[in-house]
Amino acid sequence: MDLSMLELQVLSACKYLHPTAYGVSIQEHVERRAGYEPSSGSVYAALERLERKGYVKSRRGEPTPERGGRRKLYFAVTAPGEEALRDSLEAIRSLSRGLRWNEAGA
Amino acid sequence: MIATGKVKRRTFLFPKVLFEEGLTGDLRQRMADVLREEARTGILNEREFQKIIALASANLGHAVGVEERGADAAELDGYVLDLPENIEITPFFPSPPALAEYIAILTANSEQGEALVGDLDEQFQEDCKRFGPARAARRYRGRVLRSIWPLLRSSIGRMVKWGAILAAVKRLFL
Repeated sequence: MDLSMLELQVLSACKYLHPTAYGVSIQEHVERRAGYEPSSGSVYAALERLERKGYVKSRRGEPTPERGGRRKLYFAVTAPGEEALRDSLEAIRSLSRGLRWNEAGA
Repeated sequence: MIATGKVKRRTFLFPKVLFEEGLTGDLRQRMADVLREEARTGILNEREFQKIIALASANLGHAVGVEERGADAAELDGYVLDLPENIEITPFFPSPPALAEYIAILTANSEQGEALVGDLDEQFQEDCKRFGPARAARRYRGRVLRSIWPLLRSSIGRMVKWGAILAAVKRLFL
């Protein structure tokens, strides 16, 4: 369970968007949920690391004219990926339990 | 006065957004009729032409201009409507600035490189529709520049890893 924050966000986007998770949809999902737009380069770098770890697997889609005839690459979370995602989220939940926050303006 | 001699065909460039969302219903047919007539006689019914553009702009909610272009129209953005005989509309996807290839080169994994460049293209086309080609090109360059460092770092990481493996092999066996 060695996931960076971006890897965690990308992995959860892949899980949420299945079976239509590809670069643009992952970027948009992270932007909607996390409030910032990761660059395409950082998303693909994270996906490459996740694929190397065996947490996602990719399949090629059909080429389309608006993509200059280039294919989409769809990503799906594997069983070890699901486990890593669940463990990471559980760790965050566990860490955040019992935290006391300062009141605004206090 | 009736125009005589060779009819000079004119090519009009319709921004994609105007064509797809503005020229709807019978407006597209009316525009085709006007242009067909112009191609036949060499005289453009400017009044009807402008009226249709105004109606199409009203459909869109904002004014959009139509440019008249010469033979290089196919290299420009939007839809090219060039029709003397029938309403043959060629969807034309504008090309993004030529930076994408560098990104593809930076990603050693060629499958991911193709997908990444395709994503950038797709976002560029979407931006062209929403903001026009000039702003879309600026956004595209921004996206490419923001992508370079993470890709470069990843490539360097790969090279360092392979370098370390080669060094270890050399130490052990050579």
